[in-house]
Formats: sequence, C-alpha cells, structure tokens
Amino acid sequence: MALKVEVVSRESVVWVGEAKYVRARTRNGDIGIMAGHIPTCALLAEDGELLIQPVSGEKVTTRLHEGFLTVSNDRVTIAAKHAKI
Amino acid sequence: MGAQIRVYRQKIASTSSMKKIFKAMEMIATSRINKARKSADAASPYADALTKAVTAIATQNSISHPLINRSANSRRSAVLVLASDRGLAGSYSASVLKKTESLIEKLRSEGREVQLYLVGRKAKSYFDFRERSYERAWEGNTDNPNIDMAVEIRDALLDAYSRPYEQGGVDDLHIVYTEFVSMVTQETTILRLLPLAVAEARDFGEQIVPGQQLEDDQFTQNSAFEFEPSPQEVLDELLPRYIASRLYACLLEAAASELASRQRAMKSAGDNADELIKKYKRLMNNARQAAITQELSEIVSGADALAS
Repeated sequence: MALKVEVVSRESVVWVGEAKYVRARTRNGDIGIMAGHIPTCALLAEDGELLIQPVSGEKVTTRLHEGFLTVSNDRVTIAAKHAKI
Repeated sequence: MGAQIRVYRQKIASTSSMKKIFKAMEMIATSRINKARKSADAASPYADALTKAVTAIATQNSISHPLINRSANSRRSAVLVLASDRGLAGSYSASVLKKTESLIEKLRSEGREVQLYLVGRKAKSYFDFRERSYERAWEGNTDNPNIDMAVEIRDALLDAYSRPYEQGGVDDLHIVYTEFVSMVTQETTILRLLPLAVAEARDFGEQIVPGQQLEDDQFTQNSAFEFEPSPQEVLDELLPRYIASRLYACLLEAAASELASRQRAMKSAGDNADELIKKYKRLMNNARQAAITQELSEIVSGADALAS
C-alpha cells in the first residue's frame, strides 16, 4: 500500500502523488514515514529538507520554509510557507 | 435651430465615449474576477491542510488556548470591515458599511465597546467624514489582495487580542465582508473569527475525505494523534497561520465580490448610455426635421407674399 502525498505551499499545490517513503526534518530530528504510520502532526525544521520516494520514478527532494506535516490514514500532507520542487 | 442640433450631437459624442469607458471597466472587472477566484482556489489546499491539523489538535479536549477559549464575558470587540478602495461598484461598499453599522449597534446594545479596523479607502473615508475614530486602516489592493496583506492585518489584530482589556485589548473579533455566492449574488456577511470556532471532528472528516468511514473513525478516537514537538507547541505555531489563511480567504472573497458588483454596475451603466444615445438621436432628428419644416414654410410664405 502506498502513501498519498500532497505537498502544498501558500500559493499553490507543489507536488501530488503516491509514494513509498517520505522523509522530513522536524524540529526534533528526521522523521521517516511509510504506509501504516500512526496519525501524526509535526512542525518541520526551518529550511529543512524533504525527500519523497515515489512509487515509480526518481526521488524528489525540496527545501521547505516554515512547514508542517500531518499524517493520517496513509495520507501525508506537507504544507509550507514556501516550497519549490 | 442649428444650435440645437449641435448640442445634441455633442451629447451623443460624450455619451458614446463614456459608454466605451464603461465597457472597458466591465471587461477589466470580468477578467479580474477570474483571477481572484483562481488565487482563491490555489490557496485552498494550504488552508485545508491547516484546518485539518488545527482540527486534529482542537478535538483533543485537554488542550486549551487563548485563541480558542475566552471568557464568555466580553467587554470590547474588534470589527474588521472589508470594503473597497474605489467606487463604481454599485452598492458594494455601502452595503458593507450598512451591515457594519448594524453590527456596531448590536455590540453596543450588549454593553461592549467597539474597535474598528478598516480595509479599503471607501471605509476609511466614510469614518473620516463622520469624524468617528477607528483603530487602524489599510488601503490599496482591495481588488487584488495578497497574503502579506493578510499577515499584516492578522498581526495587528492578534496584537489587540493578546493585550488585556485594561490596555486596550479586545475580547473578540468580527469580520464584515461580502461573501461571493455566485456571479450574480454576493452576500454581506458577519463572521466571528476570534475566539476561533474550530470545525467539529465530524465536519472535518466530511470536509477532507467525503464518505470515508475509516477517516471518521480515526477522528473520534483522536488520542491516536501524535504531536511533535508537543500539542501545545504545534497549536501555538499553527493557530496564527490558520487565522492568516482565514483572513486571506475573506480578502479574496471580498475582492471577487467587489469585482462582480463593479462588473454589474458597469454593465447597467453601459446599457443606460445606450438608451441615452438612442434618445438623443431621436431628439436630434426631430430638431433637424423641425428646422427643415421651418425653412420650407418660410420659403412658401415668402413666395405667397410675392405672388399676391
């Protein structure tokens, strides 16, 4: 089962798709998310790196500014003030 | 007689040039509505993500935050008025201001003081003219708001909200703005933004994933949610952003409504100009006909006088 990932910034949707694995840097350290993760809501580090391993294709990385992340029911939403891929 | 025809000709010329201006303004408004609605659509995924996160936290009853719960006993209210910068938008600003007046009246009758925050030159000049005081006013860009404007307004409002009553703080915040229902219907609405009424868990489940039973179940047992670093910190961070995104949504909606009313006002102005032109043309033709008739009768009567 794959994760449904959505990366949004204040102005637009940056990336949407299915992924095997998502890694993000929270204030406390890196967090890795795979399918079946418990519901989580976390603040991301200032200017932290985000890595998405899509189901098919190359890894996607981006830097996030003032972001946060929610996981529930295999849906991962990453929202940030600024994000670009 | 010739003078009369000339006057009508001038009137027709000036009316048709006005008609061109109305037409242009109508077209500008139409294209800008689409732009405003597009930016509203583009901003909504971020707003949804924020709503989702905030609701997840807020449904954990153990959490309390000054932005969510406040004492029911409110002594001073802030009112944010979203009107337009420019006129020529029909009754847009007037109806917002009318609604504001009735809200102020209502709040005062409940024994509260009212602090005004104004957006738009029309709102500012309304209160300036009546020499009534307001806390702050923002001008410019009401038909094309950006997120920075929303953040600036939020900072001013949160500052007032966080101060205690004795230092001029407010206990709640209302927004008067115009909701964009459709191109033909816009409704002046009062929204209480603070203290926040965060959507219920059930609403939220329906809002994000319609009809998914599993999602619903998860939110009824929201102790399952894990927060990093801590629920309180997440809440402290996200609530101000949530407010900014709500404000931004209101600004965008008000902008779309303003443009829609301007478009409608300009359309009817153009139609009226058409009718005026038609009327003047008829009058001009009458005058020309009368001049010809008069000349003819002068000739005829002159000839008659010579013949007899």
